[in-house]
Parts: sequence; C-alpha cells; structure tokens
Amino acid sequence: MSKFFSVRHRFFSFSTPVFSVWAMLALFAVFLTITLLSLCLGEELIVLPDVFLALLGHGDQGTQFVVETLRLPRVLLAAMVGAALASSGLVLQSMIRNPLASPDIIGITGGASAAAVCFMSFFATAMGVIWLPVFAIAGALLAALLIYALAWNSGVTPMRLVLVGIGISSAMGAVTTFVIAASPLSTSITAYIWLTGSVYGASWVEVKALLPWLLVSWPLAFYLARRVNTQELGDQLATGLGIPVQRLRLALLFLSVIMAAPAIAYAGAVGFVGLIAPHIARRLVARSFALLLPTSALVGACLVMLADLCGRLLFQPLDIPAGVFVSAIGAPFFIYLLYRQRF
Amino acid sequence: MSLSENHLLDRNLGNSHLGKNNPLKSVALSLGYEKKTIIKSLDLAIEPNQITVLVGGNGCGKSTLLKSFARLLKPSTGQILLNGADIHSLSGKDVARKLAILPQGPVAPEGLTVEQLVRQGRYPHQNWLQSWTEEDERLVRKALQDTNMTEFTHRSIDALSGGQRQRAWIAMALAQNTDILLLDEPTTYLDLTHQIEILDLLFELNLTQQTTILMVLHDLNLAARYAHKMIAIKDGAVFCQGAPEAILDHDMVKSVFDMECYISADPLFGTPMCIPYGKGRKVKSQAAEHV
Repeated sequence: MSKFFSVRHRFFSFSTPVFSVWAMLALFAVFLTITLLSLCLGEELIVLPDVFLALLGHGDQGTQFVVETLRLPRVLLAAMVGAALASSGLVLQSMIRNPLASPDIIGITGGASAAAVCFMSFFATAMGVIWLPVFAIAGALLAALLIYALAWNSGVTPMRLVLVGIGISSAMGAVTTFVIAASPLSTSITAYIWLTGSVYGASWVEVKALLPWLLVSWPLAFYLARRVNTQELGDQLATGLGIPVQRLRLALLFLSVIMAAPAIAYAGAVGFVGLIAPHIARRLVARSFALLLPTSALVGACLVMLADLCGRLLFQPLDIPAGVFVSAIGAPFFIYLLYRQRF
Repeated sequence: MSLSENHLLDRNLGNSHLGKNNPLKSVALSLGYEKKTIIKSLDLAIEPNQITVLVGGNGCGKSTLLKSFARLLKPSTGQILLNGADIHSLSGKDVARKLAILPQGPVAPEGLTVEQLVRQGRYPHQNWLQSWTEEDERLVRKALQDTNMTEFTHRSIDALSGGQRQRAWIAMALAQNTDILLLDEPTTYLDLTHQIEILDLLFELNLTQQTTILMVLHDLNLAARYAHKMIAIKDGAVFCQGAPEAILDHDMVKSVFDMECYISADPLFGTPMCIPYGKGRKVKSQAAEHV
C-alpha cells in the first residue's frame, strides 16, 4: 500500500499519502516554470538571467519596463484569477457534493457578467471604467442571494441550489445577450472580449485590488476545511456530528462568491477553470479539503497562466483573450487524466 | 419468573417513563413533515445500557422517530430529552459528544479512505485551536480495532465490500465515543453473514462498554435475538413494548404487520421466532407438521 506522510503536533496535524505531497511539489514546479516562461517569452525574448536581474531591480531600463510593468503584473493577475476561480469551484462542488458545479454553471459568473455588460452600456461613459469591478461584484452577490432565496424551502438542499442556479445562469445570459445586442458596436466588442475573459493590459492596480479578496477568502476557506470534509458525508451525518449544515451552506455560498466575483471583475468571465481545476486536483492528491484547496488553486493558476501565454504567443501580433485557451488546454488535459485512470 | 426478576422487569420496562435515568426520552412528542403528522403525542423512554430495537411496517414512523431522537428533525410539538435536557436547547456539538447516529445507507465521497472517514467521528470533540490530540488518535485506532477494520485503514471506501463499508461507518460512530448509539437499519443490503457480523459487533459493544443502543431493524427474528427491549410502532404510536419474549406473539405480529404467522422458539437461542404464513412449497418433515 501507499506510504504516508504524517505531521503530528499539538496544534497542527495531518497525515496524507506521500503521493499527495509529491504531486503538490511537482505542481509547484510546473507553476514556477510557467511563471518564468511567461516572463521570458513574448514579442521580445528576454533570457532568464536578465529576467532575474530585472526582478531584483538591476536590469537595464528597457528590460526592467517589460518585465516589471508589462509582464509581471499580467502573469500575477492570471495566476490569482485562476487560483480564485478554481477555489470557488472547489468550494461549490464540496458544498453541493456534486462535481458538476462551478461559479459559471450556478449563475455567479452570469450575475457578474450581466451587471458588467449593463455597466459598459449604460454607465461607463458617465462614471468611468474604474467602477466596473464594483458592478461585477455586486451583480455576482445579487445573483447568489437570488439563487439562495429561490432555492429556500425550509432549508436549502444542494440539488435545488444547483437547479435554481442553472435557471438564474441562463436568465442572466439572456440579459447579457440582450444588452449587447441593443448596444452600439464598439461597446458590444468590448463587452464580448470582457465576457471571454482576458488579462490583457493588466497593471499593478488590478493585482493590488484583487489581492485583499484572496487574503480574506483563503484563510476563511482553510478555517472551514474540517467542516467541509464532514459536511461531505451528507446532511444527516454532518448534523449528527454537530455541524450546523444550513449555516455552513450559506457561508460556503458566500465564500464562493467572494472568491470568484473579484476575479471575474478584474479579468472578465473566464469560464471552465472553476469546473475543471478541482477535478484535476482530485486526481492528483488525496481527498481532503485542506489539501484540495491549494492544489486546485495551483492547477487553476497554471491553467490561466498557460492560456494567457498561448494567447500572447501563438497568433502574434494578435493578443487572444486567455479565456479562449483555458478550455483549449484544460479539456484535453482533463480527458487525458480520465483516460489514464481507466487502467 | 421470580419475584426479583419481576421487580427488575417492572423497574426497567413498566414504569420507565417515570424514571429519571433514561438517557433519551420523548415527552408528548409529535412529528411531521410539512402538513403530514407522523407521530402523535408520544411518550417513550429508552433504557440505559440496553439494546432497544424499533420494529414496525414500512412508513409507520420508526425511522422518523429515530431521526428526531438524534436531533435531525425538529418536533412539531413536545420534546426530546437527552439526559434530562431538551435536545434542541443543546448545541449540535454537545449532542454529538453524547449521541452518535448512523443514518440508513450513508454514502461516502468518492476516494475517501477508511481512516479519513473514521477521523471525522472526532469532529465534535475538537476545536480549531486544538484539532488533533493523542486521545483522538487513540480512539480512532480503537474504533478501527473494535470493528476489525485495522487492515483496511488506508483503503478507499469505494473499494470495500458492503459489510466492510458498514463496519467503517460504525467505526466512525464509535470514534465519536458516545454513550448512546442510534442506527437506522444497519443491516439493510447486507448478506446474512454480514448482518450477523454487524449485530454481533453491536452486541459486543453493548456488553463491554454498556453503550445504550437504539436501532431500527426489519428482521423480527434477529431483533428478538439481539434486543433487550423491543418497541413495536404502528401508525405513529407505540403498539407495545417490552422484552421480545414477552411481546412478540401471533397477535402482535397480526396487528403491527397485518400478517398471519406462527411463533416458535429459536432452537439455538430460545428467543421467539416468527414464521410467516403464505404461499410456497411444502416439503414433508416433522417440523412442518406444526403448521
């Protein structure tokens, strides 16, 4: 049988199969590789030593500018967006106890999209683009509240939550399409690119704006990890073990919104990451929320970073939105994992 | 029956609703889902350190009753008292430290190992500052040992047989280390060998650790063999209760299950054995002459 890696401490203990630890280390190595590749490659090739010099602040002016101002914030934003969406998907899948949930399926992304597109069409010129994230986050929260309220029937069952979510998602889709169709062409194109999801032209402003959300939502997710594991045994057993199931469910829905919504607000409606990253993570490490959370986040980060790298490189000088390549890279890799596990 | 035995029976069964030492009892309990009432104004007391089995036909309310005893269902009126305190005035964790429930046909998340499952049983004893103690570790090992699951510690639940899987769930409930254990049809979907294995395990547990056990069983004969006390439920009310040898007879089965049967004695255990009438092949033998 597999070997185990155990840490026993008064305040802190876990025991996990050694393969989980190796998988996470390997994943982290992949993450670092993609990060460095993204900094090196582009319209102008910068060799690795020069990248390191620039990161330390000792590069020549031109390199310094490309690495520090153009590429690094973009790479970081891609990583954070991927990590946030993947974590949100994991939280939803764990809460619903169904692997077919993600912020884009359940209507959270839909709410953010509808609000963002409305903003672009009706308020952007008057208020300025900086308000877009606020609208997107508010839209996502509103959609989540609506889903929860409509699914309520002396408590909320996971299945109702998913079904109502799918309904809300398609209603929001209708709003989005209507607003785009009714807008002038230039607005429609901006909106359409936003909907695909892109980290084009990312700056430190976005990175700094997204970071606090992750610094709040992540510790909260880790804090709830043990409860989430127990909740996955089913409502009756979880209640029997002393978990306030309904309260936890509401907390998890809220958590998934504050993870996904800011990411969507700053990078657009990147789809698929939230669905697929937790699945890939489950195939890499043992089944425990506290282990799946960082793994999913790393997988999501790698996916979006790689997708953005492809978008930047493959069709130069065109800059294809990262959202396009997320599915293009994620889907084959996922199918490969499923295929390999048949043996 | 001798006088002292009679007295014992009286104390344990007859006047039990007056007893103060019943760990679990219901007072004027009514239960229902939405507008449908299932249990009406029920007073029932569970004996400490005994195995109590609820029997009754499908839909009679026995599983609903079990759920309400485990705080999974709020009464429409009345109370459940756990060691004298209203169970809904206690916190979920408080209850979980005193009472464990194993619902019917639980499903483990895909890929979860036996150890991961059993460790969940320690949840109510932990807080987020002190998440895993030596005591937790010891009780998880013990639960695995008591259920003969040690060799499967790192095995995935999906990869286990039905009987092993049920033992893993029981191990989780044991890790909870409670004085009271509730089980809803713990032997459903198991073959005869594993049914006996599970019931023997619970009997041992009651014998060695005096765990108070309340469970729903469908097999009357096994219920009669393992239960100290049997409670027959009919239409949301207690039809009769007592030692199986005192209450399991032709008339009781006729009323509770609406079925004709012949009651004999188990040739191995001497406990009552219910043999249903009905169609079927008949083979000439001495035993068949009774019928």
